[in-house]
Amino acid sequence: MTQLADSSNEFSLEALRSGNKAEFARLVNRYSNQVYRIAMKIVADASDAEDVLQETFIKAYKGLPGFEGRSSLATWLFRIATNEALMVVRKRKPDFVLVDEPDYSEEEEGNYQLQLTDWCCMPEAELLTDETRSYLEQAMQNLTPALRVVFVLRDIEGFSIKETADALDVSEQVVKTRLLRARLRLREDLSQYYGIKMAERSAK
Amino acid sequence: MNDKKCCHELLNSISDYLDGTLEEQHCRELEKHLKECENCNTVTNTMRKTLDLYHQISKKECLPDDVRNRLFECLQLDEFIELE
Repeated sequence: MTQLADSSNEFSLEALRSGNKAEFARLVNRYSNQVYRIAMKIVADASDAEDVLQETFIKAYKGLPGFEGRSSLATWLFRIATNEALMVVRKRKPDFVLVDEPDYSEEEEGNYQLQLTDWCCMPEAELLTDETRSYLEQAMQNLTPALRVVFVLRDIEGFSIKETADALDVSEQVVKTRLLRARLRLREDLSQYYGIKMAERSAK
Repeated sequence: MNDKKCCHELLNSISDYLDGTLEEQHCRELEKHLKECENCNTVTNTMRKTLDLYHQISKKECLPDDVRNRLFECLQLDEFIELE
């Protein structure tokens, strides 16, 4: 998946760097939906997401004259956006540490408590009701911010591992490790949730 | 490879396996194990389904119009607001 890599070529870097407003407006049009979506998934609040959106493009506009093009324009923009979003989350919980979250250490030592209900056979209509949709959102919000941001970029927005790593300024190995943890955690949550649904269903 | 070790390995490789980026030999070993181990098969299938559900609920939403208008205003790009 290289959806980010090539998209930046649509823009004239020269015009953007020199503060050309029409070209900047095109950039805003091109990426504002995606920046807003990412912000919403990370901060889970419409007003905060709007702040992140505005701040991202204000910073981008100010930063463009110094943009050297070492990463793609899109990657650079999403890096600003994810940093802004994580800053909002951090302000809410000043004690939260982004990098070293030991919440999975027990599992890593092999003490997995796996849910083994096979809920795949449930009818699609029951897997996706309004109620289950909001549970899915909630489960994602329950991930630590470091795991959530990787899951959002990779699995929701469809970035490649490399694109996710570039946007977050971490190694691909770090992305892979966090992605695995996020996916395992969500699978666990959903298995528990749908397990209960299945039990209720067969009790009827 | 005993089952327990393999089950543990599956958990570490499951992401790469589902993304189709697992190295071929490793992939074959895993698939062989999945045929024999019901628990690992369940974990794999439910994780695949988990990702599938998240893809489904994340259909690309757009920015609400009022949010978009305020963005263009704050960037002093009002004159380009109709541009799409």
